[in-house]
Amino acid sequence: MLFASPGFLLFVVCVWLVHALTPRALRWIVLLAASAAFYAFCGFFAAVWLVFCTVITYAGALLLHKQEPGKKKKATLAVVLLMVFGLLSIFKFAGFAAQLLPSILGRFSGGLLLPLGISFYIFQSAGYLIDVYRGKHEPQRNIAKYALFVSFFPQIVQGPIGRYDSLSPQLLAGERPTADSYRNGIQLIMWGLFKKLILADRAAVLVSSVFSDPSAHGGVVSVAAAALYCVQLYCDFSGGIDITRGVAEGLGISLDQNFAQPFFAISVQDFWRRWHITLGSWMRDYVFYPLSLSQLFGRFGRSMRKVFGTRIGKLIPTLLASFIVFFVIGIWHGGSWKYIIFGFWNGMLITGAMLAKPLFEGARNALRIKEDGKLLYVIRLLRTLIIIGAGRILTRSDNVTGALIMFKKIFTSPKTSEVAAGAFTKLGLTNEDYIVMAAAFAVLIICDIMEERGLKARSFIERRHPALQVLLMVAAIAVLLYYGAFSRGYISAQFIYGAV
Amino acid sequence: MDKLLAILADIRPDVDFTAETKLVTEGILDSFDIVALVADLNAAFNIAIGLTDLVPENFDSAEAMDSLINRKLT
Amino acid sequence: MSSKRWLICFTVILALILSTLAAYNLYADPFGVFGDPNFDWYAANMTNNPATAKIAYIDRHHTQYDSYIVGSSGTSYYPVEKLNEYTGANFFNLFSYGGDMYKTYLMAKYVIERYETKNLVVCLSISDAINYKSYGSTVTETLHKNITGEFPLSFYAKYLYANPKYARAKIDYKENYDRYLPLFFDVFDTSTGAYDDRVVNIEHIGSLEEYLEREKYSELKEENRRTYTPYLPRIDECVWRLADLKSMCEERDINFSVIFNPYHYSYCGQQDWNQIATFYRLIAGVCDFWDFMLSPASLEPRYFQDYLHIRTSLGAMALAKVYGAQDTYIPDDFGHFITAENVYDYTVSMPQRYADLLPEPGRSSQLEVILYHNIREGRASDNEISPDRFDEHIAALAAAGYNAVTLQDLLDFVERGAPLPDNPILITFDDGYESNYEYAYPILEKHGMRATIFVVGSGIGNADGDLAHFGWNEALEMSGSGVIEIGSHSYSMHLYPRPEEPGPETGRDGMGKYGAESEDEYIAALRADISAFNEAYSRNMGELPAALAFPYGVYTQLTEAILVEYGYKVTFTTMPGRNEILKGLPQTLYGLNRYTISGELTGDELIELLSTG
Repeated sequence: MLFASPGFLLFVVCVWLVHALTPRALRWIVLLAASAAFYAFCGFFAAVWLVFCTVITYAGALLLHKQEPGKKKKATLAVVLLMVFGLLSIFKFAGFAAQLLPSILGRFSGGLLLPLGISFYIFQSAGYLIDVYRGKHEPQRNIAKYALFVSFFPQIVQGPIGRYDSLSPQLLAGERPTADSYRNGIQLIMWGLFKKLILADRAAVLVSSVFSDPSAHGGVVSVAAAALYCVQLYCDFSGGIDITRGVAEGLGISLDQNFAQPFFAISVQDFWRRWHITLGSWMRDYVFYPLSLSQLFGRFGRSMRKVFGTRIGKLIPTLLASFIVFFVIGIWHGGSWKYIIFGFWNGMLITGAMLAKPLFEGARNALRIKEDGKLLYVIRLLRTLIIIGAGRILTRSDNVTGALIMFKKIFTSPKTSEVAAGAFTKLGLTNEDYIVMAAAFAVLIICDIMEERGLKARSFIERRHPALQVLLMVAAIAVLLYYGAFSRGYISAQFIYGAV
Repeated sequence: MDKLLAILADIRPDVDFTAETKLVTEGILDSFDIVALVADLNAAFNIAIGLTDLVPENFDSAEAMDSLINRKLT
Repeated sequence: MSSKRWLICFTVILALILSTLAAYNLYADPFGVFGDPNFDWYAANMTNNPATAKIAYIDRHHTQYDSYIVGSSGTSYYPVEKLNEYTGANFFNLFSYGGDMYKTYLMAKYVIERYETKNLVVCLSISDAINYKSYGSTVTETLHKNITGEFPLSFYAKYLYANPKYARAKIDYKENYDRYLPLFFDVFDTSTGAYDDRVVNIEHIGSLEEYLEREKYSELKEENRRTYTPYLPRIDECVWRLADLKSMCEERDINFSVIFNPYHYSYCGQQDWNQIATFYRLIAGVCDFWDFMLSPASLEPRYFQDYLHIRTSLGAMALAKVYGAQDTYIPDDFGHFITAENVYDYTVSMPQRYADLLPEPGRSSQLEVILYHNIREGRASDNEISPDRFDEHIAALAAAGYNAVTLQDLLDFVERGAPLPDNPILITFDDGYESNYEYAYPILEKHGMRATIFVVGSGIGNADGDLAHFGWNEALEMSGSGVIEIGSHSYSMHLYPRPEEPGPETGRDGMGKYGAESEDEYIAALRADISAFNEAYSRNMGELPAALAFPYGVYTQLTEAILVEYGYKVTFTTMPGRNEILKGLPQTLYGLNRYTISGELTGDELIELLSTG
């Protein structure tokens, strides 16, 4: 079920009503039932994996809790983690394996489609398991209550990845949502719909027509497609998260923020702190810290100091760990060479930036550019956008070859004449679409600038005259209905079959 | 405390550690700094800061770090 | 405003807006999911989303059909009429947008499980190996709830709260723009489920250069050739679903056939042959199939509308090959029956076959058409020629190596691929003057040449002095001799003198429509005239006419489209110019150019005119 569909929104309204009318002690059961219903809508087959994951992590946590620290406990953790991540990799890599071994395995894997939201609930339950192992909190003994933590429906499709110690108590508390939280929830949902329906869906039309055949377009069109893909991805993903958080608000639950104005990042590292925050912090707490603080890495670092000197030697274990993190994030996106390269690309950029830091600082001092001047800020901002955009070309292309064609076009044949000849009107979008997108993007950027400066657009509106607020409400609903999802697409038949 | 501030200054000479109280929450110290810091603290004070201690509350200010060290020493 | 008041306000406003929207969408029903009671306009509903509208349509009309052809949009070009002719069944074209095998599979599964089915034809395209479940669940892309099992509430909510632009557009188009011929908003032929290709099937084709110069065919130009190799990640899923369909058909005793679509050579050239080989071998592992992807026909851009989509004429040729139809032109090396036994060798040979592609010789032919009117002693004008001068013209043509052809020769060439002689020329006379019988008939016979006379039905047999018209008896005599063929010059739409300002009082300009007339009135007048001519013609000549010359050369797409309905296969204008006709494309015989030959020209000047064009 799509978040931006009337069916889902109707479902949410029903769940909100039932939740509000149910006695406090039973509210968590309503949430669990709603989550089960949501998953049932999405297909029975997918639920099998969810149940499997829930049961083994539940049992694993109980077992870990009983065991004394030691090798045996470590082995238990390893086995359970292997089972859940093994499950994930079966689905993620079946296609990749088919690419490498186009034989029996390939034909078998053809039937496997990634079950809905599988990686999000796997990360969430793995985090829980590791926390129990580390003794951070007690395991949940009630399997139904635990199942709710794994399967809470708003976040199951695309996160945010929650932590047991902050999420589970909220889910079980059954707080009655206040009028404020309903209002916030509705506003968040509308904001998310705005991003998805007005911006992302429109951008997607152009993006897919350009990326489906990169050889047919010039460099200018390709750059525009890459830029719009960044916008599309951000609006689609963060819009979805806004809807998720809005739905949860109406159930009296506040979920973690997953984005912090990523377009204002001043470095690649900064970008990854602002993009998909909950995945980043999951990776930090469960992969990066354990690796870089492990004895193995420590010993390795000390031996490296002798080779490269203290500064670099100290950095090496952390760099290696962050490299591994990006590699993991890369393959988590999907089993394909392009994602592996994507992981390396980001890992290299961050490592490179750390190693070359003294060089940059030297250059900056030599050029007498102020540390926190506006110029430097803008340069950093643009540089980051370009680097991120380049990575996106790689991930959006069909394969590495497609991405290479696109890069080549960008650098060797911009084809500005094509643009003057109306190339942009032949990519599935009308002039009206471009105007709507530009206006919506302006609104988005203004709101992001306000956020970035610590201002809240919502409280700004709340201080206006009630009549104005009502007007705004009507306008917002009308804009969503009228400009949302009118993606008729480009149907060549209409062009060919119409009489003259 | 002075020993701690010296270590901190060594890692990030550009930060005034006596004044800041939201070092991690506001992103002044990133995960790379934390790793370097933990390695140095463990070595300097001969303590074992574990993975469960790596929460923002323990590293948001020099004071918080100091109390973490003291807890680990006892 | 307090949150409570805000919430109340919001709920009221939302409820008001949503109920208005729902009422509007229910009234217009732009996707036909609510039965479209107010418009019953499925041609437009299918244009918006064929997958939902066709299922809604079939659910009501399934008793009219017993066979289905399924696939992506390329499937539209296999004419249902031909399938019905070859199989004796009643086909419906169930194709939808997107080139997605999962969609195709679900659509096919739905009809064969639910409705009595005799034949299922699956058309495969390269896109089927690219997209699988890649469509969205928006109103324009989603499948019908009857297929997906989507909750009715969720499905109908989508359409009740669909963007009002769809409903507004439908109402606006219906009220202000709907015409007899399809426009961009109603491109489907509801009764067949295929694209309504009446307009494309009569459009002028012309020479290759002329064809490629047209904006809509520009992507077929060599300079716009693409080089990107499509990646085919979904071969496995596609073939898996094909196998499912096959076994479902076997269980139910349904004839199952598979056709792989033809492609323009530039798209074939983009392929990675290893991927295609994998795809073909897996398909052949499931079932035998007819492959049309690559052949010399791929080199003929005029068989294509863009590099992925063919013309219906080429689809008809493919069906002729599949069903072994006789008497139909099938291009060289077009269509191969692929089985598990031959697939290996076949796929190994594909790169070489691509490299060796050569255009089929003699596929197209130039054609000159010349036009005379009256023959009268001592006259020399655009409309009149003396018998001696006419004799000189015909002798000069014969001497210059021109071979007079008949309408039947032309039809044999385009429909059956029969060769035409070198330098073919069609000699025509308009109006049907007595003098044509008196002079032209014997002169032509003497030189062993032939001609076609276009008679005005109402004027036939009018003894009117110098401009007398011959009667049906003479017409029958001439046509019996094999020298002369008779065609139509309208029944009574050839007004003389030609009205300067056409209108209800002054009359119309040839078969044209005049401004004040509604489209319906015009069509009615046209039909009346054509029926009157056909009735008179068939009563006297014993068959139906196949050719018509437009009086004053005046016609529109609509005129041509109506004539096609009455079985006319060749039409003529008065535009001077050479023609190019093409085997397999009968539409190249519509709107043929003619040089009006003046009686002042000498024989040599005539040859000069024809050779310079």
